[in-house]
Amino acid sequence: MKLLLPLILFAATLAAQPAPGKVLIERLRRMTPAERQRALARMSPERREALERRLNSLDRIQPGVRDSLQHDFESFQKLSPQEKSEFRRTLRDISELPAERRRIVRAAIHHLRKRPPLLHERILNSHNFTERFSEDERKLIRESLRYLEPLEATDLSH
Amino acid sequence: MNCLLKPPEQQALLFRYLAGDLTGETLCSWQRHVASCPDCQHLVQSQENLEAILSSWQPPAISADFDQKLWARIELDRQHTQPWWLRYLSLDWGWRLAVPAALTACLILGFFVLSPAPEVMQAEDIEQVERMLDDLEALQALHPQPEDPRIQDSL
Amino acid sequence: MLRVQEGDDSSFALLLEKYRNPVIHFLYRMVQNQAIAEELAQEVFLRVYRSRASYEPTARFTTWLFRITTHLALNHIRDRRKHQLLTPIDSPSETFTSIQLADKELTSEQRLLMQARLAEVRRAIEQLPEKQRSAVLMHKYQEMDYSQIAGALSCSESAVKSLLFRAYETLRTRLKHFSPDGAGQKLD
Repeated sequence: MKLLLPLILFAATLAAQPAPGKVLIERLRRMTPAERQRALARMSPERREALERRLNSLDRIQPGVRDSLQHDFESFQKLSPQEKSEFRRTLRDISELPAERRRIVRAAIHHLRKRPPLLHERILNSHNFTERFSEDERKLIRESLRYLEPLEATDLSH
Repeated sequence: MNCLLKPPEQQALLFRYLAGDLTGETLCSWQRHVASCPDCQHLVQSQENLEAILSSWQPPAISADFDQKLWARIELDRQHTQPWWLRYLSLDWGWRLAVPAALTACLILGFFVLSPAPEVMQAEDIEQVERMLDDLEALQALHPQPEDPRIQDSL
Repeated sequence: MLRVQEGDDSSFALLLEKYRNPVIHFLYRMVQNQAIAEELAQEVFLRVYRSRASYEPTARFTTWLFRITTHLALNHIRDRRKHQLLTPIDSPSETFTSIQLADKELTSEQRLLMQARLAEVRRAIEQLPEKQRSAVLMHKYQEMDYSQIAGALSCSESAVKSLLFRAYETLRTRLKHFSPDGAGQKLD
């Protein structure tokens, strides 16, 4: 009983915090270059430079895209470990497609996210899509749609 | 190379053959193919040679005290990872001290959570950051780009 | 691993017994120094122990373990390269204890040839790009399948096939002048 109150308070404090990794990324982004260098002192210079490049890239994302990316990332965080693992595999397979196919698969995913989920399967099996995408590509599109939330259909032209 | 099989397919079959995984009709087909394909015969021979050479490289014996040192590190790690305030709270101070102790613990927690990042980040934290960046970048790569083609559907 | 999650240290001891040698041997062939390999292996198992609460049983344990192991090995190699702390790969004591001795007694000439061959094997492996090196060592010495290697290297199975294809092709070319018998005779 003597430990119950502090444990409850401790749990409440933890529950209020975002995922630790996100907190760490935000802290790193807010640091000055000197502070960041100190924080990352354990890393080899090569690895530290690579990490800093990646953090700087985050800063260069345009606000509209950043909001959308944040939304997708938060949805991703809510997936179960197995779902995350499966989705990571799908994302990896998409990244390994030839550049031209990757662009078109990406465009298809974005298009379908703006269409009602109930229509996805019909669209993927339509003549238009079966002609344009291989079975493997349609599988990748289907798997991506499983884990990505739908988007507002504000602009169906893209 | 004149073999009708593509190199990665050829190699994949070769590995399965060398590992003894080919059976039945697949094994017979492979053997018939190798009998008539000089490229594959050469590949089989040279890969078998290579396997034998690589097998000759054996690692040295492992230190006798490896496990003992590991358990000692685990024990030390266990002692260091338990926060001091948790050790403090688990002492038998009686219920009279529980509330102020809890409040103190929360203040200290709050200080560490809200305060600037620690001087030097731990390796695990850095790896966690890198993993999160991997996921973020993979998701970003799915976002539409200006050069992406237009997609329409007939529904 | 699920029993280790429940705080069962004896299960961790069993895991250690089963995987200690494969992990250390893999690390040894990656970094080519036994002392460093054992140090890195200690770090691997310490992380396994620390991460037991967050272990996700969706991935095979071997895959998860070798992902951690490869990650630490590659970090060490990159750090070492940067700081130019290379240990000579053909230091006599390392080479001598690593030779698989044939049953018959070897002449000193045969022993020297074997040492030379071993040094070339080690150099050939060391000169492979990191991912190819990791893939070959997991495939050849740990007998891991494509999906396990893909999981450990965080890439697709087709990428693993490609890595192995290129790595073995390079090794076949580099080491083709050695005969397969234990005496390590050069063919030319």
